[in-house]
Amino acid sequence: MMTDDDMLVGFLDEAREHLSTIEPDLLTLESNPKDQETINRLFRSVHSIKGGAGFFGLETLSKMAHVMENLMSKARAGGLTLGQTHIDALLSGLDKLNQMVAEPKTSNDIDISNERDHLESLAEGKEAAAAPAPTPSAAPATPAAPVPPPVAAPAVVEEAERTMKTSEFDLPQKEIEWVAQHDMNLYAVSVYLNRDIMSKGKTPYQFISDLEELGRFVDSYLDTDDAESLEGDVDEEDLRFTFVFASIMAPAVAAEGLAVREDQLQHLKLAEIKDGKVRVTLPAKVPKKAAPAAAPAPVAAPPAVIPEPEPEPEAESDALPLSPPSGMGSSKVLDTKKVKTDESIRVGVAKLNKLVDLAGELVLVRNQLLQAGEKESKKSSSLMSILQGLNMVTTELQEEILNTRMQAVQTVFGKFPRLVRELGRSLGKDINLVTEGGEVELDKTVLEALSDPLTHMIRNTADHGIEMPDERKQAGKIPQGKLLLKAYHESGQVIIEVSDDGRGIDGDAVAASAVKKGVLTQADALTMTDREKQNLIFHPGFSMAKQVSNVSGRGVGMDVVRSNIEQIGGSVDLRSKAGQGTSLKLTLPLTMAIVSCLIVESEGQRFAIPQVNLEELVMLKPEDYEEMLGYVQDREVLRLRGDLLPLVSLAEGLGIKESQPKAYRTFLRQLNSQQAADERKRSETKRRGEERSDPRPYYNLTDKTTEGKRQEAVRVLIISVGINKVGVVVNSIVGSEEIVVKPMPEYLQHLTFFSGATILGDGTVAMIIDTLGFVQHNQLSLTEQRMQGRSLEQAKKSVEEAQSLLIFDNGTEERFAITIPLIQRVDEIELSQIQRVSGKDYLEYRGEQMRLLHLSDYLDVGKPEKRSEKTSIIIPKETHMPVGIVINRVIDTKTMYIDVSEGAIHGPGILGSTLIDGKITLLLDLYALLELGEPDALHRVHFNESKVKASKILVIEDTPLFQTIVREYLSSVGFEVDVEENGKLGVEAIERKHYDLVLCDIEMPVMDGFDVIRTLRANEKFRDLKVIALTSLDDDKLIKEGLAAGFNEWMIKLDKEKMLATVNQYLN
Amino acid sequence: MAQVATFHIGDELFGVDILLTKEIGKLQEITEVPMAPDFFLGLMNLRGQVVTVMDPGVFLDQKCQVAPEERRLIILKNKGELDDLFRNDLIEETSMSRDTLAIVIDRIGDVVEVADEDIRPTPPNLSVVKKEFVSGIIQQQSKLIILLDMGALAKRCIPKEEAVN
Repeated sequence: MMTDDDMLVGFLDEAREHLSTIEPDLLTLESNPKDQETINRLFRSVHSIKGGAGFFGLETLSKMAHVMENLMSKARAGGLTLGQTHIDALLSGLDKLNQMVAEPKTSNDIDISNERDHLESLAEGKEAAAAPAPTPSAAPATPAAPVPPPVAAPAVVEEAERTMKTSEFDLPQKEIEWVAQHDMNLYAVSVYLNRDIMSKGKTPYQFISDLEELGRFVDSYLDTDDAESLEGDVDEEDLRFTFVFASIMAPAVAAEGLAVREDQLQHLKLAEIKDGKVRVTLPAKVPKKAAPAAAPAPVAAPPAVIPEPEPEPEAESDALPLSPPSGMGSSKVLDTKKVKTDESIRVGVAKLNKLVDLAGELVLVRNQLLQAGEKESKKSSSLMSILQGLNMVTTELQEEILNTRMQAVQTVFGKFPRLVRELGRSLGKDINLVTEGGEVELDKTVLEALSDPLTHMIRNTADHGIEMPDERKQAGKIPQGKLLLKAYHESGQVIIEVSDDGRGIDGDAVAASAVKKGVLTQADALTMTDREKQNLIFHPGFSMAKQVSNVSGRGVGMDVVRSNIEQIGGSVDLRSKAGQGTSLKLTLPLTMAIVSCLIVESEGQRFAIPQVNLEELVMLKPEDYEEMLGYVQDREVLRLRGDLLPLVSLAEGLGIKESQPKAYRTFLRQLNSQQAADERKRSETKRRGEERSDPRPYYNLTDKTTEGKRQEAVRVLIISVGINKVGVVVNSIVGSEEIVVKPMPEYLQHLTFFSGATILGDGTVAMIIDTLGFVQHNQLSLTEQRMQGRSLEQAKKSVEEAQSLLIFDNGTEERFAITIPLIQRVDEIELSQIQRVSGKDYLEYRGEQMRLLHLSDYLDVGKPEKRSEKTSIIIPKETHMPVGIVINRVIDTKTMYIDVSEGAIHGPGILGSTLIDGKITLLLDLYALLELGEPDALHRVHFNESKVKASKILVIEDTPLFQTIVREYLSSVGFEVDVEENGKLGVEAIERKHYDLVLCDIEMPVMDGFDVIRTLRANEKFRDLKVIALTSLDDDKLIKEGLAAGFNEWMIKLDKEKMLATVNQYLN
Repeated sequence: MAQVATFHIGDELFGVDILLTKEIGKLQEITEVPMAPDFFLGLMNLRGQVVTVMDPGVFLDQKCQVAPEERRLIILKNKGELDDLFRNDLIEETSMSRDTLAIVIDRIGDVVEVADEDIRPTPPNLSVVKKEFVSGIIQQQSKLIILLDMGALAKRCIPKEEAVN
């Protein structure tokens, strides 16, 4: 019975409860060492751990608790005042206790000697140090006064013969020896079943198991005589239960520990027990009047352990019948607490989770029933009320079950006072932690996941946020820094704020550090708002510390904090004012199992989007298009109250083909081509040094189409991811629903833009959008972070190059495009003219044999079923021999910004794909195609190998697509290639490192190609550096101007052969 | 002795150890999962449980020949359900996922009793079927049953570490 596992588990649970109160109590004592109530509670907590530990054979745990108890008992007796050293020692002892309770199996192997020695020496040393120390000598005197001397006891017994009853115990010698060995006190106790046990809400079994936590049960005796003998008495039905009990408790606390009155307890002196025979005389019935005089005092109290200094007055009043056994506040608290715990039962978390799951299922079934029942209910009115009843009960049931998992935030907050105390000391700062709203409840899972991020945030705040006392004084603040930890409810969510009155975050310093670390380019930093800069601390790999201290330099960054919070469906918001403080606001869902979502529909499929990520819903009417839609940096944007938000349709973002182009897309496309043309015109006028004639804002469209009138409204969800916002277009809003989150099946876990699945009310499965994953997948976050918050003026400046494209088809459904600068001519031919020679097609063309290439022979594209008699060929520029590419017909030519997403269609001979007029258009790599089809047609550029190896080339180019292509072309030959994304960075790179050749784009943000060449040529050092303009601008005037400005050569992009040849020429 | 549930996909007759199957179901409303590999038909609600539905025909070079509404599903046991069987030595260890997988088939066939010795190794000329998913061949009168290795099939469906995007 003694080593029952269940009982051990029960003890450990209780020990943990005690441990959790010890820490705050110790900290309270530190500020108020005389707080008797706290000392008492502390003593009791440690004491009960000690008792239980000994009981379960956890010797080390028991010893540790014992020395702590010793020190506390000294303090309790007034023998010493607990100072900081004492609290420190007790805290370190507490750590050991925690450690041992966490691992009870190995707890006996844990070394506690340091803590123990320290505590022991404190307990003794203080006594010696406190020179006048009246306590030890005074103490024995104290009990002598109020309690009758031990010798008086027999007399009392005789006098009170009628109300006293004598029982005889026959104790086994073994037990007596054991008690002696363990230095325990032996007590005889008499309790009444109703009065002392049942009335306190306990069962006899519980009473005994409580006892077993306090000591050892030696022998018992149930006195059934009483029931008969005491007729007429109020307690006539009460059974008297007498037992002998061994405990480490000192006599004065034993009664309190057992929750009985002192007169119900008799201390047995081991020496007086002969042959195991013990005669015990205890009250046989409940005295009706206070009988302090009749109370048999402990036979002999060891003078060294005198716990209560002044028991007299209280003992008198408290000894009234049926009143609580002791006057100590703490014991009252303990009693109510005990009753409370008895009203609750421990349920395994797994069982609880199963209940939560089942409740979730029930909600789903209810929803289905409601939908099905709605139709039927018209026929039968009683059905409707049943359904409503079911509806209500289910909702309530679900709420209640979810509530069982709720825990007060205090369980997490509780560990911070100590953390802050220690942080403050190790950092030499004075920090006052204030916690508010500890009673706010959160789901257990959320709470558990919250602990680490919060700890990290508090560390960070203490380390970086709050200044040193001197610094604070200089800033006119009080030396003590304030750290506020506050929890509260706000619109169905729980907010936890960690704020301080420290120095705040210096956005510029953060940005500078980010640039240094390569997280951010200087150019980007310039365009960022202060808030954006501050938010860089959430960037992976970023640490704010000027010097890594051991407090926050632990390799965990705020990025981890943020991703942890986002994982549990929350979000983090940072606000900081330099010099005034920082506030981190966590928005958390009440529970993770059930999430409030907006159900939206796109292309016939429904998706759930967590409400926590939703900022607002915007309805775009056709008349708003002009004002609110735009094109910046190849991207569709939404203009919302001065901010430019990336705009993406949900379906497109998820790779679902849109059945028909939406009206707003048509608008945007028109805008796009319009803008491209404008941009071209504008850059040309700029080159000519003329005033820009067109003052229209960039998003304006001159000719409004009649089509615009028919266009329907567009629903845009504004989604927040960190500080970034994104506009997501959906077809319709279905409604909001509380959904039960099912984790993503393992098979589909790689789809990071879904966080899980759920079953909707009608029983169908819907995917839950992971907004962070969605934004990352669509690469909306990085560039947009820069874009957002920029003024329109800046947005206008960010220039992209327009590409002139020839758009054609090949008699299949696919559409293709080739950049026009690479094309020499497009001609129409007749199919019958084609001659087939040894498996290859030829055509007599302008007196020469022209080789004809079919796209489907070399590329992964469809083959036309049958060609019409008249068909077209494209003749590329600058081939060694005549080559023609057979196509069906030219559809259009367009100058536009192309958005060739790198993740889209890719393959040999295909640079990428883009949407042109709502159709996916494949952008062909002409040179790759020729290489595949007729390699002889290409001019082979022969490079001197040693030259290649020795040469370094810098490419200054802003468009990622061209960066990739040019780099690929050059490195395929063997050059060492560096890429910079704008002129400013390019010039910096040139100043830093030697390059043999620079290929420079013309149209670039921040600093364009003309400025680059002027800057370089103005510098003596770079006067002779070979710089080639690499652009898609082929205006003659511009070329002239470029060469005049100092470019060695003007090259057209994507012309691989020419580029390589030119490079070769310049390097030799 | 083992019981094998047989089923048709396209022209072939396949079999699976009946202990690995949980139930036969109709192809209900399936939610397509954007950007999922093409062998996944989507997700389905099986009495409150989200089940991943896949088309094994993609790996077996067979195309379903029956109209979608006529098709059937074999819902396979998941790891948790199989672990019990494994502990009781009823099956060998398989590599099913903890998440329930269902395969779509044309129609269900008979359940046949098969002795271990009747299961013959995969003949080398079995070219139509990707061999890695076949654990053996059963000759039953005139019929040839291709016994599928569900563990291998399921494993193939789990994405490798590198993300798709």
